[in-house]
Amino acid sequence: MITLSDRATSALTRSYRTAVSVESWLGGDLLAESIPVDAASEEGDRSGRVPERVTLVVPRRDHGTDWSPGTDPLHPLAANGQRLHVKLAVEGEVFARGRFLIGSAAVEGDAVTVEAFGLLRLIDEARLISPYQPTGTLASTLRGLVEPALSIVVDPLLIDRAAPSTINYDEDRLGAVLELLDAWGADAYVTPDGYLSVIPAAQSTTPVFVLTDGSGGTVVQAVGTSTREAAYNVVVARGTASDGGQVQGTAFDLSLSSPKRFGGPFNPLPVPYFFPSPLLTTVDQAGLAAATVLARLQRQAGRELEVTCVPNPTLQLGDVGTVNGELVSIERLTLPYLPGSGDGMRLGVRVLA
Amino acid sequence: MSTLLATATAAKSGSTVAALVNGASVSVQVARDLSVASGDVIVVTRVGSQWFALGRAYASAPVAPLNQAAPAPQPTGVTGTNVFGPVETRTYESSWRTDNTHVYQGSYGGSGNRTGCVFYGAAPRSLAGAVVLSAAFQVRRRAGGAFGAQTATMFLMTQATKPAGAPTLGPSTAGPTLAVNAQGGYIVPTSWVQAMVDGTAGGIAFFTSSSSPYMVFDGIGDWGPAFALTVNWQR
Repeated sequence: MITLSDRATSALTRSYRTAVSVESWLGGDLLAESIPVDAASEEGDRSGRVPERVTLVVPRRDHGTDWSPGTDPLHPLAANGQRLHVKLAVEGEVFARGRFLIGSAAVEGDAVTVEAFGLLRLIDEARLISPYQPTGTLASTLRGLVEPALSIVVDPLLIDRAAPSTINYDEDRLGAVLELLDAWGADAYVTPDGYLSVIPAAQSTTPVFVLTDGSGGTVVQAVGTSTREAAYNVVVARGTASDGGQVQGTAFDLSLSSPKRFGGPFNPLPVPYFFPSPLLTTVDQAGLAAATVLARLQRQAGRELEVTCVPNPTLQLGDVGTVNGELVSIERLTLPYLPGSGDGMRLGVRVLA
Repeated sequence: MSTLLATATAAKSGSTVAALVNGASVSVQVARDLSVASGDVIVVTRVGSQWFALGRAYASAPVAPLNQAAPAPQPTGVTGTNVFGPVETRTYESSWRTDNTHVYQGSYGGSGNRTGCVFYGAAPRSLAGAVVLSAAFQVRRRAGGAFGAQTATMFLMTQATKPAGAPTLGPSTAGPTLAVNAQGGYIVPTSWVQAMVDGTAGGIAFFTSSSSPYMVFDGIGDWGPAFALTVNWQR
């Protein structure tokens, strides 16, 4: 959740003034300091490799400026590395909402529709042409995979360790990042200021928002189907010790509140998910990685609720809150930046077991 | 992709051999009973994120072809450009002003002497370990004080976020020279931004002990790019 002052936070509970400001940057050059926006919204899906997507509708001509990118490679809306810095304001208090890489800008009549993506897109599309063999630690390996497209801040609670000397990654750069994070017991997200924050993967249970059906325009619906697909109750993480021996760590879903818990009625036999990684060289490391993967699988398999509510631009993917008293995490969101850009804010939340 | 041919670039050493796999030199695990000499073509297979050499191919080491090199996965001597926006702009005058986000310097009409502050938060720390090559911020002067060009005095500030009390100011230098409504990029001392990257400083302040000239700059609530700091760096 993005932190605002008490004054702005209290305004979110009633009708409030909002504004959006969009700049365009190419490298370190400011191309446009204020892009006019008729409509704007952000979509996020935590299950995606690149979770964030922003859509802007820009008037084709405004105060003598042609906002159609045409063939100009340096146009503020061209898709040649131009990044949009999106800032929002609540009752005049300005805060960064995010930085997005322009994916396309299409002219439709008198408007230009701009689609932009989260900065992990830079990592996703930069597949490895030749193998990448790290020589340092997990943190330096991660830095090597994402810099200079993204810079990173590693939480000091994460204990760095040497990466095995004979591993190397092929082709899928973002896949390598995600595997490394799992093996490290870490999670990562791109902050509104545009860097990759790497944090311990422990699931927070401290709610930062409260939503109640029927209160303040909030509507809660149960959605989705109940399925056995992609449901697991034990994770087995396997790696290789420096002498070649196979190491293994396991994590069991033993929560009595979990309907798919190990040993429960879901299946009297274990339903495993395997996570192999050569980054795991000790049993302790394998156990931590198994717990990290299990926590993510449990979250993804949790009961899903669809919430429609008054837009709260401080909410982000992964935020934990309560919906009708149940502890949930935000897995999907659609946030209109301006009034009239959508039908309120929609959240896809999953109940945390 | 899981099994292919590679070329050893050295003889087997211990349990591994250096080999060219898809144009990159990597360390390959070698089957225990396999001898590998430099130049040998070896059959390698992928196990997880490791390559294992299973055998040698062809009658002898081939003549090394003059291949065109692929770009390195991580270029040596990485350089980059990051843009760090301030997390807050505020002015201190006995206490913190809350009525706007302008960045003031000096005293107006006998009022208190103001210290305008620009806080950059944690973002510059994402370059920890990098060497800052150059840096500049965007600045725009708004109405206040003499209309003609005035020169501000700029300080390195310790805090990265707004403290409860007065900000802690460090070394100073001449700041931007701007007339009212003028704007542009202004170069910041490299050592200052290096201090932000290293975590020993967190922002920039505008202050003059003589209370003059009085100047007002746009803050983040007034102008989107206000004090956005472009940093060129290398690692």
